[in-house]
Amino acid sequence: MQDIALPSARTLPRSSLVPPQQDIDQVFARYLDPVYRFLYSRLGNREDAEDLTSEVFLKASRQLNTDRGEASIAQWLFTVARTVLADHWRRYYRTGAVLPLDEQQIEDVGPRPASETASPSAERVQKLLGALPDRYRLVLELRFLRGYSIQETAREMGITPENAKVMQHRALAKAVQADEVQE
Amino acid sequence: MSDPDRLNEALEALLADHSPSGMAQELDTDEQKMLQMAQLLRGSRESRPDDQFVESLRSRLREKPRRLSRRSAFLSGLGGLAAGLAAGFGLDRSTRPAPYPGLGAGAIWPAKGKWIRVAAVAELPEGSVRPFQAGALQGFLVHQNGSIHAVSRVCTHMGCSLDFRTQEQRFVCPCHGAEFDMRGGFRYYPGHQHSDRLAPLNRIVVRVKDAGIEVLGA
Repeated sequence: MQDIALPSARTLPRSSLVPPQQDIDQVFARYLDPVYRFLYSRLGNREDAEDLTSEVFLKASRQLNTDRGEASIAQWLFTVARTVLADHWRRYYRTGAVLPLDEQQIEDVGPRPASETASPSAERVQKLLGALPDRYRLVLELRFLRGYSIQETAREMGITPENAKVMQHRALAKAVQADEVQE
Repeated sequence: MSDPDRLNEALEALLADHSPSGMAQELDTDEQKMLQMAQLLRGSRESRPDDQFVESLRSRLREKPRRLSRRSAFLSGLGGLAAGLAAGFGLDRSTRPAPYPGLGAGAIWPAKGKWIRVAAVAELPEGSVRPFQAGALQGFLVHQNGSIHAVSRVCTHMGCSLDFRTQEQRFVCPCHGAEFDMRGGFRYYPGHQHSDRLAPLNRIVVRVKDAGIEVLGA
């Protein structure tokens, strides 16, 4: 937390609501990584994660009051990230945020040093996978954690590609159920 | 109405690191939940922001004040600047000069899209760029930093067809000289300040299948 000292007092009066560029640069350097990783952990692909991360920081460059303390800046950024994410689900998915955000998790992400490697949702996913029957867990691990193609997954599991597709669908449906029970 | 193929396409897009969200609208509620679950699973892997993305966002954040001050020249002094802000000037999307609102709005998801094979993986070695035509779509395949992506060949200014300039590693418009980087980000427009930005090139959804590169075309 000591790595960047955000100025807390100013000698010059604010000329507008726009935060000074140097403050934005510092906030960007400090929080780009955690904000991106938080969004990626929900969206699971680079395109969406980049679009939504841009939205958060463009908002910050117009509206963030950098005079507030570091903890408050983190909280502000993650509140915006959460809102942007909720808007994204609403725009594209009738279901809204099906997988509700764990408030505690967001609090955890903010102040974490960028060097920390654990993805915020990794633990939850492990718990979720652990609750599934072996074959379902395996198909989801191969496909989504290890990025196997349908063909590779089928070969690994000794089934036909058609069966692998069906099993993938059933496993996802089962995981949704398990997650809803856990909530 | 459930259509497992639609869900499969969205899952393949996700696994190719592309946004499945446009496709999500075509899915029923249960399928959307399954897609979101797949996104959560996929997102639990470690991921770092791409260097090029970081750089381009950093420069976008830096360009904003210049855009504001240009606009505020029509107003007076700092009060004018604040007024411009309040009126919403300087907001990213409202100031892009792209004349056609449909251009450059994100990934292209054809309503009746199908996967069209446009090249063999072997034809696109690391660091190379290759134009393609897939039905109504024309674009460039790019193999960069170990991954393959595709961008539309249509300039977001007036819709001219872009050329690729190897030396600068840029897509350049023959009509008015606009330039875009390898990921489709706007870089330059002659005779204008950097504050006049064009929308980035549309992305085209791409996947690798059976040693071939396929795009989602129409």
